[in-house]
Amino acid sequence: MGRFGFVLRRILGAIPLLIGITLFTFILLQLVPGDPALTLAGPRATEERVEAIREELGLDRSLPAQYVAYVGNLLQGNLGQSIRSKEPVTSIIRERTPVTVWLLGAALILSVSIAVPLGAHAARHRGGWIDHAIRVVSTFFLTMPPFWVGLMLLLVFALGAGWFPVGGFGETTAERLRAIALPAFTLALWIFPIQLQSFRSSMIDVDGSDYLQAGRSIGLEGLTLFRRYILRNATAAMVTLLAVQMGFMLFGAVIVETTFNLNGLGDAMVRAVSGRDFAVVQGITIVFAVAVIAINLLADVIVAALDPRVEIQ
Amino acid sequence: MTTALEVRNLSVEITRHGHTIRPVDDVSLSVDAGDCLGLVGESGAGKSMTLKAILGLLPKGARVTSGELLLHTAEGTLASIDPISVRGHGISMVFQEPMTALNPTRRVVDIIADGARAHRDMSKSEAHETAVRLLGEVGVPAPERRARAWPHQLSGGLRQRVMIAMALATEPDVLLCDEPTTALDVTVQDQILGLLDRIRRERGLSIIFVTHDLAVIGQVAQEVAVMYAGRVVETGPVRPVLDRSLHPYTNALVTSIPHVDIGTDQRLRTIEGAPPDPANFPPGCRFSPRCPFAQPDCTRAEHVLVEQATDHRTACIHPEALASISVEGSP
Repeated sequence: MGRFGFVLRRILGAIPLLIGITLFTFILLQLVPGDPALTLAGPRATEERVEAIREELGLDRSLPAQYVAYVGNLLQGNLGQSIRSKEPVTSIIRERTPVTVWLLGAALILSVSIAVPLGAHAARHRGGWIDHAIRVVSTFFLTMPPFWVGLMLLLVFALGAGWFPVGGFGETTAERLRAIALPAFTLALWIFPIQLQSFRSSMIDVDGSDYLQAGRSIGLEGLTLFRRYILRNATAAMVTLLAVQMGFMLFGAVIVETTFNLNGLGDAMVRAVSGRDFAVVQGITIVFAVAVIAINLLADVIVAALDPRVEIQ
Repeated sequence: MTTALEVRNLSVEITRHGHTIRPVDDVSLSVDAGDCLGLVGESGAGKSMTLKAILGLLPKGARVTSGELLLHTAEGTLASIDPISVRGHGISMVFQEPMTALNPTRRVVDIIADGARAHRDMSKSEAHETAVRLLGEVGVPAPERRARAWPHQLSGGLRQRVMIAMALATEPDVLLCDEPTTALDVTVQDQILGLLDRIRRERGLSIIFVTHDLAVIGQVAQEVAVMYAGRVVETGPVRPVLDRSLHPYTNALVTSIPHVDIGTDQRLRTIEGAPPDPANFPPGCRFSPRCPFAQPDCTRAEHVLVEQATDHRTACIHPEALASISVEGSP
């Protein structure tokens, strides 16, 4: 009951957050300068034509009425339709989600594979030159903007060496892996430094702990000591960090998808914003928000499972 | 009496920023089978460091530069052994802080079972049965239920009992106790001391008990070794050492134990000065700068433990000064 109740309470707790997000995106778009009806009608449209479009889109109604209509549709799984392409927003999202999921998944795996061994190594040799070298390199990548790193990787490995495609996604898994490699690496280089520092300090905490000494004192060593005494104690903080980083990664996906011409959600977001396609912007914002909330919820559950001291009542 | 464990000429050095200090300097100790040796001294005297060196658990940067560890074998002889090899076989340790010395992400039963499985082949369920039995033996109420608990769900006293069960699970001959009652309140402290004394007698266990508390030594130990500034300055059976100290440092420790009948207008007795900095130990007898009986030749004294009474050894070169004072000057 304990764990189930905990999850249920967290889901219920997310509802006001979701309402807030719909309200926030709705208001934000009202504040953005520019009239979608004007944009859509084009510069030479008559006054009547613009009025007709406005009516068609429901833009002539009061703001609360527009919001209620929007949320009502949302609850039915209807995110409206694109002002530009007339396509339903849900089908745009469905089409583009796999690209972004591939990108974020690959970036997450890559970044953790860089951060964990390097962080453990830095912790073991803390204060030594290896530790300093790892810190300098990771700080360097932390300060490099992903669009610049992306462009450099493109220049060297796609245009130069020709090992990877310059842009676009693929059909088969092999094609997709090749297409996703550079963008995922770009994102990974951006997010791994914080993971590394967090894992390094977790490892130092565990390494200096009395309980690790106690574990050693009864003869535990090597892999057994690592599995039973180090792993669980060192990973809980990392799981929380990864969930927090999801927000940054979605922002990173917007940049990287544009750089690598990947037709993911981030790319759709950029296009929709520049085209004042507010239904699409709202739809993707909500998808991002739900994703971040869900992943943080998942992380809480994992941390509660890893660390018995986390109260789940 | 057979010797269970002997430490010969142990020195530990720490090098930091190019400076080398020696917090444990040529320490020799031995504990007889079934006995408890109390190791006393102020913080920084090198007591804990000595214990940790025995199990090879020294902190980063500290290393054993000399010394030999001898453990009683089944054949009845003392054999030289390597610290790491005795972990889980022959020697185990009870740590000072029960709050932090138990793995927070492992259930009590598994923590103890790990110890049981460390030194011999045993199925998982056998190890679990052993763990529950040990919890009962160390006085944890409702051991079957408590076995499923996480360390943070237990009180300090119960955690220290779990810690003792964990150490016993390896079936050691020698138990090293690093101030195991310092973090506990007085009534619990008493119970844990009683428990350690009971398991020592029941199991024929030898104990080295590190503490700064002389009252505790009187309660649990048969033999005592007093450490000051990295060296053993006095050893012997517990009553003679505490009642007729042959080293001014021991005497000072004994007289600074507060008594209940002390008048409210009286100040508690302390030892003048501060323990010396390990980076800058005074020459000769290291206690001489703080010693009320110090004589000019003390700063040139060589550190040797000399037997002055049966099994009672002191490093003080003027023990007669102390003896005369304590006869005339007793209140």
